[in-house]
Amino acid sequence: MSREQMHSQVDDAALVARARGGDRSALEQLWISNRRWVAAIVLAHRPRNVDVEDLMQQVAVKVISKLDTLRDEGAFKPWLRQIALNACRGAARGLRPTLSLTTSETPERGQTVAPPASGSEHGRAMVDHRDAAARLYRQVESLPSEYAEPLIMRCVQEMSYAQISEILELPITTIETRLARARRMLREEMSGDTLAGDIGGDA
Amino acid sequence: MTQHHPPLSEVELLISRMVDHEADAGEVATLYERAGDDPVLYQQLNQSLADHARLSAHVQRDIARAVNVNLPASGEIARGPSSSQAKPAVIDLMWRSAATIGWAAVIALAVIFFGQDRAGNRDGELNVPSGRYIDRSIVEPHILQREDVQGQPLEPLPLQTKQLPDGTWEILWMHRSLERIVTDEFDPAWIRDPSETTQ
Repeated sequence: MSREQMHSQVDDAALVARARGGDRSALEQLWISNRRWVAAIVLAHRPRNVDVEDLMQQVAVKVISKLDTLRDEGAFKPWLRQIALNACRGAARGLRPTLSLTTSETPERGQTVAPPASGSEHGRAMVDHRDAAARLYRQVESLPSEYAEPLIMRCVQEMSYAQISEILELPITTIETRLARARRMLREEMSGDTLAGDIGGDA
Repeated sequence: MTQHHPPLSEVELLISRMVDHEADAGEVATLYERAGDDPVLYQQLNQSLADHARLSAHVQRDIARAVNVNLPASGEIARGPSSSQAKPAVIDLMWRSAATIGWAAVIALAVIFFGQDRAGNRDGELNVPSGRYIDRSIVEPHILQREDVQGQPLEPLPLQTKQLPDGTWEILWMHRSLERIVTDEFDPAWIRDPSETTQ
């Protein structure tokens, strides 16, 4: 276990203990310091058409109502990840018929990005950039979740391998390998994409 | 997506570690040394860095609101009624979806039925959703009049199409709107189902 992981677990354990004792500020601190990566987990595992924000609200509710069930106070992060996974799985079970509830202002999967009003070179470059990012993101969504998850965690919070390793309960070398493999998969998929020329153009 | 996984090369791992700021000085030196012989490595590194930056920006934008979700204000949060209860098909679809997404969405979906014109079963053919609704009489008025209600129009719901004697078509539809509020005051008692209880 790295020093970073040990510090993190000690911090979490202390906050969990205080939160269980009724300290609301400790509970909030615990949530605020972890919610970004929780959002990454949700993003990696959510069913399509389910809003990340709604799932995060479910997770938040569970954190309050289930904190007493956490056996090992030092294992708060894996426990929290499991809650996030359960929320996503629950949503997947109940959402066989597709019903979009999203109010996201960002493009949904498969949607094109609306160009800005300006027809300037800068405007077109912005569109190209956003379109390339959207295509890349769609490829990430199609990755197996064990690869998408650490990759999105890196993107959301620039988490270190040690931090990701602690949450996913996997060796650091596995995290490293999965990230490299995820990037290879993306490269292969993007090079097979008929529109990939735009991506490669600014390399 | 590719299922076959050939082993990763040392260079692939190295580039990935550099993108993630995990490479140490020795590894960076190794990569640049190799790139001296094979400039394609620079291109691969630049491409990987650019992809990561693009992806990060896109993901950050996608979850901008989600990463600011706070804990509910109160410790005990009332949950919505079970999705196993019997209900009409249209409501069932919406309700099951909402139940999986959480209490906020439960409210949102129930609110769909506010303001709907319950047109009645004219000709016995109308596909009018009937069933669960929010009992406005027991919801604190301020909750449904909050400024943070987010509305989103949905496609009109077709009720009936009928050809008239003159050859034209009569099409009945219902306007729908999806509204959403976030509150810590939700009470399952708001949701009424006429098929279960006599009001």
